[in-house]
Amino acid sequence: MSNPKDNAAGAARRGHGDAIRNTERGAEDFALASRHSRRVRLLKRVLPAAAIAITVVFVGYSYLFSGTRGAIDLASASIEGGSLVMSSPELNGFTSDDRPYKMTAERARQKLGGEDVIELEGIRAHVPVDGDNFATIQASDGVYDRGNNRLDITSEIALRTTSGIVAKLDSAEIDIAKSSLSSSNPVEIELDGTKIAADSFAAEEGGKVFVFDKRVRVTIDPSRIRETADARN
Amino acid sequence: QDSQSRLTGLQLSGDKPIQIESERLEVREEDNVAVFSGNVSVVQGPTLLKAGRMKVYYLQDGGSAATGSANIDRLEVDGNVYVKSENQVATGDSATFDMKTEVLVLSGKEVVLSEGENVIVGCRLTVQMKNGQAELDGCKDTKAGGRVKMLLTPGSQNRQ
Repeated sequence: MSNPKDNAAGAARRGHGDAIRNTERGAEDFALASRHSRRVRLLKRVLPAAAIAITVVFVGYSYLFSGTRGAIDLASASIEGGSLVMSSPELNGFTSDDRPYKMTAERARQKLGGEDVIELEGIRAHVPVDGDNFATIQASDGVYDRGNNRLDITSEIALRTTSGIVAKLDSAEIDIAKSSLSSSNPVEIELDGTKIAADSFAAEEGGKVFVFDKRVRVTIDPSRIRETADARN
Repeated sequence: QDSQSRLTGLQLSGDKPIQIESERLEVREEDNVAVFSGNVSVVQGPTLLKAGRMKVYYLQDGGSAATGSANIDRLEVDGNVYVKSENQVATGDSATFDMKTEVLVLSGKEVVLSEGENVIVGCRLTVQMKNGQAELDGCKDTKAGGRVKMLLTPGSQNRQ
């Protein structure tokens, strides 16, 4: 589809230059011009309609295909440098054992036409852990793979659970549906008086099983445990 | 018969920090157990315990093993156990430690308790960690006829 602007300019230039010599050719130019304007009128309607259609398809697609994996709602979306940039997206969904999780980010970037991968900045996740406890996970950047509902966080992570666990990890791969988390980099977990450090860590079955591997170091400070135990009951 | 000796060193002093190291730690929330494996070492003050594996069983009273808020019921240690305190060393195949009664039981084909050059060999060493009171029982079914073998090196008492 040649660009409408060039045709118009071409017709005008031909017409302008030979106006005196061949007025009888006016009819041909007139036909050309009217065909052009018809085409412009057509495009004026078609182009916006196509734009709207694409947006509807995209938003619909991400909403529909989220299925149990959670629906994305966006505060605003813009297109920058070939990727869709969403500000403060929020993802809500349910894990395999039907417990709600929520993930928000300050900004999310998805390459247009790229596969199901969204780069996230300023991540906060609220994920169910063991029993009826919840973990809030904070990290500066990571990649959310919508295809298999995985969040790979490449920066330092702060994790805190309602049961009082405080954890610092250097990276983490989180499988949201299975609510499992693993990290192949050093991790430090602390609670009340017990500190566990190791070079790799995995929390499986929603935190029912914790596996620390490679150079496990546990420090228990009985006095602090007694303090918090007394404080608790 | 068995021999009584004071094992003053082998005491778990109440609030000194305990440092545990191992290659791997698996905390199984539902079974209320944490399993340390791969040259496990436990240090508290002068007391050191080394073993191949140590299982920490938590009380069922609701606290969670993973968060450490549950209190410990008992420890089960195996994979050639080595226990050392200021002046005594005891070795055996496996050991259990009950947190409530604070009793450590070290057992195995050959439990060796040594203090300096004095060596006592038996099959079961029971230590009251509260006061360090230790009791070594002989091996019922071995050719030693259930007697404890004791090797006393003359003059070792005053050389300490």
